[in-house]
Amino acid sequence: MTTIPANVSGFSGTLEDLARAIERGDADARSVSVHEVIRACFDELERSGEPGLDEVGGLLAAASVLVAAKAKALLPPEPEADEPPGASGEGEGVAEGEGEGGDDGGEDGGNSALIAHLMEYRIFKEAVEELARRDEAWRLIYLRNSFPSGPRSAPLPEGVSLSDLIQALRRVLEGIPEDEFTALPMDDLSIEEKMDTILIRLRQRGKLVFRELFDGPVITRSEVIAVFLALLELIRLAKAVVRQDAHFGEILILPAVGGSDHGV
Amino acid sequence: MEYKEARAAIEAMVFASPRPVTAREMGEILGIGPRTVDAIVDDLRREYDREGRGVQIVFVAGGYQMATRPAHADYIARLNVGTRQALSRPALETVAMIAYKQPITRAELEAIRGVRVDGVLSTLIERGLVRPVGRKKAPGRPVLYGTTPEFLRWFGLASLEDLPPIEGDAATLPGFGLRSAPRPSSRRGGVARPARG
Repeated sequence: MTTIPANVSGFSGTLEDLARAIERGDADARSVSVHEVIRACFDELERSGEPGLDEVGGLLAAASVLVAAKAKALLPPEPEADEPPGASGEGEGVAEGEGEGGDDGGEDGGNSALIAHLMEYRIFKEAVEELARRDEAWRLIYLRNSFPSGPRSAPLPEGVSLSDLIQALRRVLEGIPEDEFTALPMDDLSIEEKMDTILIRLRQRGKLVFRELFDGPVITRSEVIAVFLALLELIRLAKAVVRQDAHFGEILILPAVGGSDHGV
Repeated sequence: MEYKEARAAIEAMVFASPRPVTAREMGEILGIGPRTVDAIVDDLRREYDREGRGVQIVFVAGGYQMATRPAHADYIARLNVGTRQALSRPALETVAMIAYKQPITRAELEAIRGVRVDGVLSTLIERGLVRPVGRKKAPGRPVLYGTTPEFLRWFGLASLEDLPPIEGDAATLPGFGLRSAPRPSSRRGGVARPARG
């Protein structure tokens, strides 16, 4: 037995009275904030000093009745005993639940969204069980190393390190606004195409300054990355070399001696 | 190419590859069809099983990969090669929702789970299981998230089609449009279940 008051909007009495009223149907569990009620009870307990064991026990019992009633009011109804098996598992059960909610009036209209939400969460929980089993099983299996063993042979350079190139790339990117994209895999960017373009320009002009690679009326950040990757690939394939004649000087792209631009 | 040579070459390629290697890739290199590659891999698998070898060939993330057997997990763990931590319950729930509903925004995930998912999402991204895949055409252009190939490897799935089927036609749920996972693919052998022993 608890005498702790549970004064919430629309109700005045002890927590036990509130739980009884909800069970009798005299109070609507959906309109009661469990958090608010329990908080009020705790505050009262603190004010009353050292609470007795009976009092705390009574509070817990009444609180559990309140939580159970609230859960019952919010959760979709259990299927009827004579309902064909599997009916609720085929989606129709959800629709029925929603229909019943609709019959109860406007208040349950909002409730149907909650029911759908809970149903979806329950479905996910079941999928999660299976994924948890797989997670556990595959923890015992070591897949062959997923880390590459390192770069093979990338003869960078003539005075230019990879970090120099990346620094240069950063400077180019700083001058370009964020891409206006709606989905990442949208740009039809071809590294091969960019490689061809670089080789053609090298053939025409003999050499290129690094930032000239990114000249164009409109160039996006994605394109910059694609061009940069194309350059790295050309260097790896020994079709182009990069050179920097002085510290902080311009990085030059040159065709590799004896390199071929066929078959890129 | 002789069968024996192709078999050895396939074994070498699967061993050397740091990622799942597809039958098509190996077939193109060897000049044989992907079905022949599948048959040769099956042959290798049977041999490994018969001889009780410590490694097996599994089919994950769309390709073949060498893997150890669960029975030897304890020995490998003692090598201090780094064991993977199990995902927490919230992480499992979140990654499952992303897998079934991708692409999905953080707000949509939070609406279903009823709690904030920032921390969990960061963990999943750090582990390489989830990545941003774009932005939604909606106010604020929120980031959309999807799963990665590493997600498939993590759970030993051949593809997203091999996700555990979810109950019924959940797409009928009002307001959510949940996508049901198709039934497991009919690929011969399907997902390589971790062999016991």
